[in-house]
Amino acid sequence: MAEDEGSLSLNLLLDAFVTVASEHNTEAILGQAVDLARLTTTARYGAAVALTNGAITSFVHQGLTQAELEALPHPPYGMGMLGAVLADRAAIRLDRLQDDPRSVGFPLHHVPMSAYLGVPVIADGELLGALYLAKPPGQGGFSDQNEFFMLALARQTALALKVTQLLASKEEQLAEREGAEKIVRLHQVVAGAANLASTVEDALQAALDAVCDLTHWDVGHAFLRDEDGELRSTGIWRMADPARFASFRAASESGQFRPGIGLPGRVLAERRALLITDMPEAGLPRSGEARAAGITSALAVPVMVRSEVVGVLEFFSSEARADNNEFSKVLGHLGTELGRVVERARADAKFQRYASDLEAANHQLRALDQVKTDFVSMASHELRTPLTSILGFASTMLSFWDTTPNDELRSYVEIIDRQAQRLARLVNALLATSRIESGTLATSVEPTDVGPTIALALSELGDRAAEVVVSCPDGIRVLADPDHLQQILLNYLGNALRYGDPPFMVTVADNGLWIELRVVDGGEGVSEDFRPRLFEKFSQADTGSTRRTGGTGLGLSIVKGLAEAMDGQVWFEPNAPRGACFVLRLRRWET
Amino acid sequence: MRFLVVDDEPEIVLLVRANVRAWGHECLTATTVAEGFAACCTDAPDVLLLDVAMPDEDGASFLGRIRDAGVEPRDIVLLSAIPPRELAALAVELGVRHLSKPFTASQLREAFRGLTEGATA
Repeated sequence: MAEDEGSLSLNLLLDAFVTVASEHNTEAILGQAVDLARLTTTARYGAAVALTNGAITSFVHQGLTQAELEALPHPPYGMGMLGAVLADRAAIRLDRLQDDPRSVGFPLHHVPMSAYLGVPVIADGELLGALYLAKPPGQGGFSDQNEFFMLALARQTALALKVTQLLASKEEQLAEREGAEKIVRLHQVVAGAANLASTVEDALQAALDAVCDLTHWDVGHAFLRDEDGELRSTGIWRMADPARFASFRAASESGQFRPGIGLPGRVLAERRALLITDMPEAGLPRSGEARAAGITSALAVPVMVRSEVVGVLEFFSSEARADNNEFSKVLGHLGTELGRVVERARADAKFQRYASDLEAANHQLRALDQVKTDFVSMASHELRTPLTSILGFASTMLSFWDTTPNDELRSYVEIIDRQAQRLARLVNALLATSRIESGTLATSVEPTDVGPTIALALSELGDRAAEVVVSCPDGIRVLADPDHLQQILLNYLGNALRYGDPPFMVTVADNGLWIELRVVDGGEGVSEDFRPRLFEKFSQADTGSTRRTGGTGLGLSIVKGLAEAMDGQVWFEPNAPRGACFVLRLRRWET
Repeated sequence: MRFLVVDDEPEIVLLVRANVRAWGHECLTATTVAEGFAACCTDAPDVLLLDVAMPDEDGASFLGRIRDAGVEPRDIVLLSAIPPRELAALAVELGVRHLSKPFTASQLREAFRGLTEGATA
């Protein structure tokens, strides 16, 4: 019998070696050990604990009813007999548990235990847990062989636990290494992409792609701050399933995320990365859309230029994501790398802007230079023309005085007189143009009666004034320099009489803030293609006719300069049904 | 000799004609390019005084036309109020003589002295 019992025990022990060792899970190892122990010893109760860093982290028990289980001190942190086994790191075998002082507090009246056998589970001197068995009163005690078996089982359990621990730590190390490799890779990819990207948009896209690819976030999105400092969606996304995230995307792109508002707004305000583990319940502006899209976690990282947040990258996942220090650190680097790209792009843009401003300024200067050259060449041409007649006829008269009939001499003198007047007008016009352009035109604006000024201008026109019909309400006054106003009216009226046909009219309209004077004729009007250049210098519709009528080609450009000096405006309107209408608008004066 | 003066400024035309007549030669006049071309074709002038900056056609184009038509006078003088250096360059390019405006009666006379001396009206 003893031999049978022994061989049974040995067989069981062999089984125990195989069974327990085949498990790599603490609870399963403890469960197998307790099973074997109870089977071998026929004990009703069996239990096992495992320790991690001295604290009980696993507790397996068998044979207790639910009521008995509830009566146990729970969790049994180093209390009672088990505590004694752990504290002594030695086996305890008792026939009557209730006689031992260490069982004080154990609810024996609820859990009827008497014989007790507890063994520590130790590997390489490290206490890993304990196994114990108990029998109800009247079922006898535990034998030496039971104790021997339990000690062997405990050693086997210890080995199995140790292997499990080692495997777990190995797995942890592997996972850690894999994580570290991933992080290094992420850093490389992002830094590489940031350096290669020619635009901020490319760099952001590369960063979103890299993070999502390597860390399996479902969605990545980038914000940048605009010139007013507001966070704006860049419209740059990384997402596996666009249809699923469509409404989330719409909410993200239309949302306003001021500092402190929403995930990006909080990152902007706090200037650090933020992880939201339960986005749908976080009460954020997009929590509803996140729930609908099945998003659980959210992570947002600032894009930094020095200490300034210039943008925010955000990532979303349907999985719960825990905080990971290393990962956060890498994302921090990523934000800084991207910040460099943004800074570089901003500097480039600024440089481009300067360059194009400079180019525009150069262009303007060249154009101005050309205008001046053109002006000088036009002016010299215009001056030489009357001078040719004056000089030519004067010298002709001197050369052929005796042989030229008197009436011819007289006609030469008339030509000289006419051309001298033309030259004088031209010189005056050039001087006026020069004063207007150099800003040295003397202008003194005062309340000026419009009606009398029109009458004065007409009186200068002599007989032809009778052809002009004036319609001007009484008492209308404008803010004007009376001399300038007079000169403008003379120019408009002179042009109308010179180039136009009757009826000639001057009308004055009161628009409240402004007074508009119109000089109208019923002639051919102004051709459409010439209208835009009407008020430019030396821009005559027909050079020949201008010459024949003695115009300087500067009149309307001077009119424009005079009007603008009085804060007024001039323009041309076609007259219905035919003819031209030149308008002068001046500020109304009210007493 | 027969002169033709083409200029859109009527008073310049008058001025040239007064001088040419005073030298004892005939002077035809035109104030448009079209009139000038017609005169070259029908009246075969010996000398052409041509304003280069006419409103309807520039001098170079006009010269090309009379050369193509085989009615080119034997002496051609460009007249113009454009800057003298530009006028000189243009004249060289076209292979003709030039006279800058303004000019005096004696400068005009000088321009034609060699040509008109010994010639009859």
